[in-house]
Amino acid sequence: MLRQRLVRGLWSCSRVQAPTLPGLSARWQSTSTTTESADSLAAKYSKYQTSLREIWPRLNDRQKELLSSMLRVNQAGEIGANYIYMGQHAVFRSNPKLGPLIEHMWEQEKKHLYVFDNFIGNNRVRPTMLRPMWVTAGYMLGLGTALVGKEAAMACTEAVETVIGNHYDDQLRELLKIDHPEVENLRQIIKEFRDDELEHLDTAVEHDAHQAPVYRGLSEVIKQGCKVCIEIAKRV
Amino acid sequence: MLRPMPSLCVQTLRNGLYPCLRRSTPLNTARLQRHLASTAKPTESAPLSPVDRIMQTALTLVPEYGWTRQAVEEAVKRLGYPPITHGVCTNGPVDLIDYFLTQSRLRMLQLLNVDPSQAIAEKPLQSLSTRDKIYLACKARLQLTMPVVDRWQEAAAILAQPSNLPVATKQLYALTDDIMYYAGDRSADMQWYSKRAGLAGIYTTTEVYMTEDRTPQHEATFEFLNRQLDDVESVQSMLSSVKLMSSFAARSAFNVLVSTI
Repeated sequence: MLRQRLVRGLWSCSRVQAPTLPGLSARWQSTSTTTESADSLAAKYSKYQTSLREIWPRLNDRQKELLSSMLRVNQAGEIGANYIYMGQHAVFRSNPKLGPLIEHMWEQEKKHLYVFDNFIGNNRVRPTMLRPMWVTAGYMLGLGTALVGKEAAMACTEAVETVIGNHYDDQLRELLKIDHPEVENLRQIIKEFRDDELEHLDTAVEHDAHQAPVYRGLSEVIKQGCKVCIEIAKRV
Repeated sequence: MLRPMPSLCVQTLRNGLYPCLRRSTPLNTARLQRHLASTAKPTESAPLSPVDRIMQTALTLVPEYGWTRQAVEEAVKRLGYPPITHGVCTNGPVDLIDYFLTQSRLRMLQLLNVDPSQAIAEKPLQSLSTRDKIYLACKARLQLTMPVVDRWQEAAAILAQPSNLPVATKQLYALTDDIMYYAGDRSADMQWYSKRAGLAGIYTTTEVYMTEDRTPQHEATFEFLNRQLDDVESVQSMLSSVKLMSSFAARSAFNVLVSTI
């Protein structure tokens, strides 16, 4: 059983290629067979098209720095989340119950990452510098917990989504201080994403997250790790 | 800078000069920068501030005096300000270079029909390819260095000093970011860094090449720039094929490994 899981995990690890994620260049996407074209993605997520073009020149330096660090940390978080689900999916792909469930959550994270990638590209925000680190850390976390078992994977999801949910709430509070339709638009998007994340949290709890081995310890370690990552991502 | 002077002199200076000098604390570079950024509007009709007038006159004297305090002193003398005013360059020559780089970058954007006052304006340059847009932007920017090209090696030497590293990196980042953004780059992953780093390399080497170039109109420099940009394209396609090859190799190696377990 474990050997089967391990082989499956490693197999998908060898196939971890960036092209399977949206938000990459067209040339990379063209080498992949699974992803949709850039145009169809843009059409699919057109309702999240928004910009900061009007408000940007009117912000002071502190506000600009705040907004860019927010977008950067969100991008980093969504990269991590994407790869966590990719790692879990690698193990539970053929599980009739968990496979579709993880696929659904992963699909939503893909959407989040696409929206933040686009937002960063269009608004001249410097993207996160540690992308390779988030990719490896996320994948290892997802794969590692999934190999321990279904409950551990769900406990990992629960811990990560708790921290991300709180983090988005902090941002929403912060954004309320800037009164402008464009910022309000951004708030609505973050609000929707936060609700998605909290839905994942509920799903994880429903699927026996609390039955995981050393649940308390595992959950605390992951939560603290996520908080450290957030602090790092804010800065670089 | 203004502090140690007798108060009468300070008063005269403060009342006589533009508000940017009417400060109770000494001017520092950050303030100067902010001030320059706010006065760097492309409107030709607006009267220039004294700082801009001094700096721009000093820049015309650079071929004669080099990137030195003397150039600023001479500019101040010619404009009829009190001789002490050369202190607008708090950090000496590097301020003059910094001013030159900022102004040239803004002028380059103007040449490319992009409004610099709108930090995130979205106007396509023309219906050119990204590579051609980058070439055009670099060419426009290099042409702005031409009047001082004989003195540019001195400027490069000053910028290469460790204490001036912040100025050098800031200016290089601003230039490459502007060029890549207006050339239509919207990447949000590691390519954002690799593209800017690559462009910074190409631009600086071309600039060095230009200081040694003696051909009329610096034709050789622009050929050099062209070659460099072509090289990047061929390296990129080579890298992507290497990536494809290695992923095939990794997969087949993995298959062999799995079949033995």
